[in-house]
Amino acid sequence: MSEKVIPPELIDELYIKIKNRESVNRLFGYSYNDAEMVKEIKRIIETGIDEANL
Amino acid sequence: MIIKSIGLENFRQYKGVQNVEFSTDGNKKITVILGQNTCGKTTLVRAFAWCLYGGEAADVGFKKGTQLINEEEYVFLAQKGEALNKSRSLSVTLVIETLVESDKVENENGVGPVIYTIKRKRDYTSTPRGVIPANDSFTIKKRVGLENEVEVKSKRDKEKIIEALMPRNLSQYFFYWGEQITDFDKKDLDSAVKSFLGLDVFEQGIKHLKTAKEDYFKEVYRYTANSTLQDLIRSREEKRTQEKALNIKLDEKKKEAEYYEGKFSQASQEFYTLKEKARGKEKLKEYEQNQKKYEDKCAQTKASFRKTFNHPNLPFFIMLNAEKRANKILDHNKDTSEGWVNISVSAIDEIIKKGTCICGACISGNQEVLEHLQNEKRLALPNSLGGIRELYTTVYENAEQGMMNYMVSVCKDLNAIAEAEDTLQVLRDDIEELNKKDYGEEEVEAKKKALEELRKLRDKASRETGALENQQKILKADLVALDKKITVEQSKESKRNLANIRLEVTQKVLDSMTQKKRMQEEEMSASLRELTKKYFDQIYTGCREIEIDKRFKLKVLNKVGSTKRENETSPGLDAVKNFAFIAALITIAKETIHSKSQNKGRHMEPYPLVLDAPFSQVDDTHIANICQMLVDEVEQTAFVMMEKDWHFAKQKISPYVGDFYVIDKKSETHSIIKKEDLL
Repeated sequence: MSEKVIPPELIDELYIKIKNRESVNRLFGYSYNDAEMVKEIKRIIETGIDEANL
Repeated sequence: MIIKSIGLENFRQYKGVQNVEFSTDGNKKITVILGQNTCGKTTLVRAFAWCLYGGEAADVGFKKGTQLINEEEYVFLAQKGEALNKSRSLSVTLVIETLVESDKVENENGVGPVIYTIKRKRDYTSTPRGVIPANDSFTIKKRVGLENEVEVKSKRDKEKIIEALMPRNLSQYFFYWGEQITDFDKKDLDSAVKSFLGLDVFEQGIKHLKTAKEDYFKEVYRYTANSTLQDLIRSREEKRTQEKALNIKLDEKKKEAEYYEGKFSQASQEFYTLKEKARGKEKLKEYEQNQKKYEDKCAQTKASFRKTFNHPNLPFFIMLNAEKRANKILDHNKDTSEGWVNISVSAIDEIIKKGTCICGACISGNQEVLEHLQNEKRLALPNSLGGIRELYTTVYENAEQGMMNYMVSVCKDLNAIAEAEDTLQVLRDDIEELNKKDYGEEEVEAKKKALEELRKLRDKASRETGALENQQKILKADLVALDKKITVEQSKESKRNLANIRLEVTQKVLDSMTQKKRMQEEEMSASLRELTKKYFDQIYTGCREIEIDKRFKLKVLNKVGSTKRENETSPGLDAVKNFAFIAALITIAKETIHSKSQNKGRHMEPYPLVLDAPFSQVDDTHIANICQMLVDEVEQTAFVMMEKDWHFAKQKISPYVGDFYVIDKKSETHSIIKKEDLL
């Protein structure tokens, strides 16, 4: 594991973003398939990490 | 979701194409469909289930083996004697709208409702073996806001959409028929309830996060170094130290090589200078050879001259003087050179005597010829020396020419002799000069040896320099390779660190989502239990209590004093119990989890109820209570009921009825749904 400290706010923020992304996908009749959603979630996580300068 | 319409084509009693549009007016949210016994009320409700979930007749409540296609159409297909390959289709089409508020969701399209057109179709064909279903098809078309309608292609996506719209296990709560309502609590509703309440969003999120976590884990593994970076750096340091030592050695060796190169070059220069000097000896030899050559040549020329001088033409010299003397004498004697050569006086007398001149002229009687001969006779010998003189003059001229040639030849020989002697003299002078010089041949030999020694030393230093340079090249290549490896490893380490952070963050988000899901489930389960109890208490007029276990199974308890005991239920009590559950479920479902944040921005999601003969087992008081609850809690309701039940419900719900239909039973195999005004 990394030595950097991950702020809890980042985890909360990412959780909300990912859950909302899943909700939107559900509401819109699963416009994105599983592989695309994994990609989206990874993008959200990676952007969050970049922005948090981790 | 709300149901906009259902289209039926040859589905059981509903021959041809028939359509029912449901009220979507928020103030008039009830649609009533009245029909007598066996007109097709239950069939209509089962059509919803068949459209959404498919299957055979038995799967949607019909007797096993029942043909879903209209009986009259089936008979038409089955008639023998007719041409084969006749075909008919049955289909059910549902148009459903989900209300998605654009400002409540993170949608890139920024649009509102999503409309699904869901169609299930089955084709029947007549064959020699009878009428068989030839082909089933299931299509979902989706229109998001103002976008064009698109067809959902993937089977998995279609399943997910149906599961999100209305989980199959829960569908019986929303599209149910008659006695089925009493069977609810016999099924496991856990996953269906969770899906209906939107908790499948968590399930999906957790599933996707787990996949992302696996990906990051693989990345961490992929970027794990084969050898540690520290080892590589240490190895590079060692190589660099070796390189430094080698560079010093190489510099020294290069200097040595340069030194010998300089020495060799200098010695070489000296050697060639000496050699050049020694080359004068060779020149002397060459001169001496030339001297010999010219001496030979000179001797040959002299021999040639002697030979020429002794030539027989020498008498011409004498002739020349004799001719000069003869002419002198003749001139002194005034002799001419006229007259015939070799003709004497006696010879001319003989010619005169013969009478014919040598030219052929006749002398006799020809005075002129005779005079001429007489003159010739005067000039001829012995009377005159002219003829002799004439003879000698001719001989002299010939001799003069010969003399001239002879003299030329003699002069040529003399010149050649003189030239050769001059050259010889020069050569002799040069040779004499060269003989006086010192050519230093011994010195050349010594220098040559020294040069050879220097060459060896120089070559040795050069070879050693080359070897050191090769070592240097190898070291440099090693260092480049090590640098590359270190860069790769550093990059790997950087990527590995990043992947580790991503992995850690993903794990934490996953933990968070799992925890939130559990909390949400608990919260919703608690709400569902409370609300079900509340609605049961509102509807039920007796003193029983209701309980729901963790798997959402309902129990009716009889309270005797402080003791509670599970009670046997009647169909009427089951209906009341289940309506309470439905109302609670719909109330919670209204507040979907489709929100921007965990606790803020929830929006109301309506759900429909399509009820077949809902009040057949319920008494008047309970009908009134149920109707009141449905009006209060349910956004859209379709009642399919008999006239007698409508009689009790009418008073309570008629102000909320938007559309009113009556099923007209034409025959046992043909019913028509007609829209009528509510009286």
